[in-house]
Amino acid sequence: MARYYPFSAIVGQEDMKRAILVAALEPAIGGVLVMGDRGTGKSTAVRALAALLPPMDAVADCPYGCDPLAPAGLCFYCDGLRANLQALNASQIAAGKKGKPVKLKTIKRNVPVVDLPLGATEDRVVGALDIEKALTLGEKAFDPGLLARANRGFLYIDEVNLLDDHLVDLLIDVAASGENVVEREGLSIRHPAKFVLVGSGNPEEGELRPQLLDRFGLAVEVKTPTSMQERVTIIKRRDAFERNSIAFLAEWVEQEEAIRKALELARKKLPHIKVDDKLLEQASTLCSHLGTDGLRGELTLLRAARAVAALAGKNKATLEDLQAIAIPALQHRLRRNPLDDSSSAVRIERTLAEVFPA
Amino acid sequence: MSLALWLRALLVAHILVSNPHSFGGVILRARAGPVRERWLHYLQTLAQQAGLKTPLRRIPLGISDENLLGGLDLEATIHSGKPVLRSGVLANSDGQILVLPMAERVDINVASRISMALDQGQLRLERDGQSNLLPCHFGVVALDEGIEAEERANIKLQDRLAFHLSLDEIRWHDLPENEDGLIDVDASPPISTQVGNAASYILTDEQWLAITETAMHLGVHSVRALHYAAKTAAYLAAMQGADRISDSHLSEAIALVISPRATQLPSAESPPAETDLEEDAEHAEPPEQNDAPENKVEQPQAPAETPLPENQQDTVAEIEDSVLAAAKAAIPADLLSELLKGPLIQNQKAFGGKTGARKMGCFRGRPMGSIAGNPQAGASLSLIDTLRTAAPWQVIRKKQNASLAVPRSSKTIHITKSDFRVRRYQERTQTLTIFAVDASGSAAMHRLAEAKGAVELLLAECYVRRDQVAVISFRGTGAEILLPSTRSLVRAKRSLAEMPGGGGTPLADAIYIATELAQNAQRQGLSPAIVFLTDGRANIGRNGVPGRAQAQLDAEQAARYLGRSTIKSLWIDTSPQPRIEGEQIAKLVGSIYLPLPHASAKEVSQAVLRTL
Repeated sequence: MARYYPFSAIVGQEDMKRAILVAALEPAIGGVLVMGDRGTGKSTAVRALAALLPPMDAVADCPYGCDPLAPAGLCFYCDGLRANLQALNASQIAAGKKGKPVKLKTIKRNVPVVDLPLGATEDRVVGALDIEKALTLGEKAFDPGLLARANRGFLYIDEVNLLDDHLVDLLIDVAASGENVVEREGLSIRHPAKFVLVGSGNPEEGELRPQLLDRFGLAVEVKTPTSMQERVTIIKRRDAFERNSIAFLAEWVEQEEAIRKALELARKKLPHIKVDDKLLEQASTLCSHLGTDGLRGELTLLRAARAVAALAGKNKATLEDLQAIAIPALQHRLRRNPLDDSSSAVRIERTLAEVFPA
Repeated sequence: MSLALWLRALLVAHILVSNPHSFGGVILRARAGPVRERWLHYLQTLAQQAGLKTPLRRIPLGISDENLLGGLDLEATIHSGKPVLRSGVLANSDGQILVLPMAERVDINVASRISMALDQGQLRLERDGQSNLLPCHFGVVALDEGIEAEERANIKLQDRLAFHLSLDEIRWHDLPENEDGLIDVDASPPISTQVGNAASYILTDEQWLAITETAMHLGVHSVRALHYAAKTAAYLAAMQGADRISDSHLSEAIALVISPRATQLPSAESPPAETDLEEDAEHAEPPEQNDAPENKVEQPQAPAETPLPENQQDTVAEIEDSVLAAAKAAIPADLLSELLKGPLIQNQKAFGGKTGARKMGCFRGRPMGSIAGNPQAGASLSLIDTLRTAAPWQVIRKKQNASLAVPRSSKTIHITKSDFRVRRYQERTQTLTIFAVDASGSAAMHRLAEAKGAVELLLAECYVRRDQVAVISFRGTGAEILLPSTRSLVRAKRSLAEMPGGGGTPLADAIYIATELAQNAQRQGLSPAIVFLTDGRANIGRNGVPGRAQAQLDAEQAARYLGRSTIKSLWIDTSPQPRIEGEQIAKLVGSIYLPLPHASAKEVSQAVLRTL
């Protein structure tokens, strides 16, 4: 098992770290896209995320790692397990045995962070016939793919802008429906595939298709740090990590734990975070001033603001939280204005200052 | 000087062989020839001694994903009745050195797969029903044969390979008869101890700072480069058996890793004087010129000797001074001549060459693997891939067919429609060259005829290449599309001949319309390029309002707008005395600026052909 560089040891890049945490906290936001310069720790941050997430309950045998509390009908595998259990319990009652009915076996599992590597073939992404079983036993069995593995977790695509078009189409479809459908010659399977899409890439190597861009809830731009002190710290830490990763991780255990705790606390708080009418109004004012298309942006903005408030340990989302996350939530949804040559982030900042003067 | 360079190149070979993966590798910028061959031979000898697999494995230019990453071994799978993985070149080269020829032409997809494996030290394979994590620590020797400044290895690779060597300045008769006398291969300590040792060398805080600041002065922003430089210093110290990393190790490491990446000369240096510019013209000539290489390399040393106006009591500053001097001396000559012309353009749009963007198709171009589909409407069946898809189903289908009681021999391969795979190809899209011709009074006076002539010559060239062209003329109060994109030479010629001249220069309008046209073309899958022929003196604003100041502002804004896109452009300044305004706007657009005060039509067209 490869050891990943700890999240808390990443120097600077506060925007990126916040966006990743927000996306991890609230899956409904729809993931995060990190675009930027080479060697700025994009991949490092995403991989580091895996270590931060608290383990989740999952149905023990289910290949899709379903939530034991999920309603029936979502996952054929869990439904099968439940039906078996019911039959078992019924037979026990019929046999006159006492005791509690047998429940679904659950285990603690790490939240999956699944890599979608470049060059992956379609059959591995969506899942296909299990070759081993087919060849040796002549059995038609489904071999779940990466989408199945990513269920309830994260799907990380490095170099997302270089991904093959037909894979991108496929991902868009699944990310939107939360369900993966495989239809092939007697294999007819639909299984849950709800995941947070995390992408990273370098915009110089190709732009992302607007359809895919829109699927990402948040978008952050990372730049190489220019402060001397930051740069020195970065290479020193990186060097220490490469020399002795175990010692380095041990040094950062406390900081990692702090973030993990904050995340856990925020997760509990999130459902109770209030958003008042005033903030709703402010969000839509901002969006209409910026001319973002559709409701998607507004909705993401509010969800993200709530998550920011939860991370800060507050009970109520305020304008401050909204402002903190406005750029990542909206910058990839703006239309380019031919009369305004400034970047989307600058335009949002300007509009924020105009609409909500301090 | 070239001997020092050569020794440095040999040193890189030593470091690389001692631990291929931890340095990523080397970009060897040199044309094929005896010098490059000799370096490769040296590397090979070292590799052999270190116990690496030789001859070094080469990655062919157009390698497919299947060969690079791996996949299902069809034959073995069918034979053994079990899925058999065939690992690709990358996974087969764990702990080895790979050679990547013609790195400047390597496809971005191949480059990013190699980078992915370099980053992670392992290869995640998700192909053909196989899911595997293979160890994959290798170093890459990228042979970059680029000649022009923009013909370089992919930026991903540039960033991830620690060393950038340029051997073009070394002529083969400069090389020593035999390098055994210079660096004794056998005398170098065994590789394994070097690696173990290097990790125990740690840079002091001053040295960390010195590396970072030197990189800053040279405009090297990548954090990876800093990291590699620190590691190289530790290796150098370990190789010499020194008790700590000395400043000379640091200087050498920076010369090896940071200097070749320089994007600017240190700001402490005064801007190049007039005479420098004249020398630049000489530098632009081919390096075969007699003593040009020596001149180029020695030049930066001169300013370095004068102490930098910094606090010299400070140890950091001291280290940095000596390191910076070494760093500057090690900037390769071709890079230096570029740097002396001013900071490198950050906004590099050129992906190189005259070719259009890539587009996937089913009909022609470079094969790009296969996709499920029906072999109809011109798409051709990929037999091997179809068999591969069908292979796992054979046992199941045989059982099913047995029950149907259709007599079949046991050798029959059962293939159904859903197994069909068709080939996919990648083709270059067509280019569209948009000419934005200034037909205003000021331009018309001097140059309109020449501009027209140049465009006509270019049209002929475009016709040969089957490119499309469009012509925009701007004069009076606005710009107009004189000729929408076409391939018809006759129409283009006629529209040019009829092009009237006179009036103001609505430059902003021209830039907007050209950009719009180019963006439309991009949406249709064409690769647009814009050629501006103008004197750059805007005097009509965006809404047709006269006034030089406002017009200039509008033009600058328009230029920034175009500059933010990825459209390639060329700016030909046609005024008799090129002035700063034109150049400024061209810079904002991010286009290549060519002042051609006395050019004839032929020269203009040649300039365009060279650059776009």
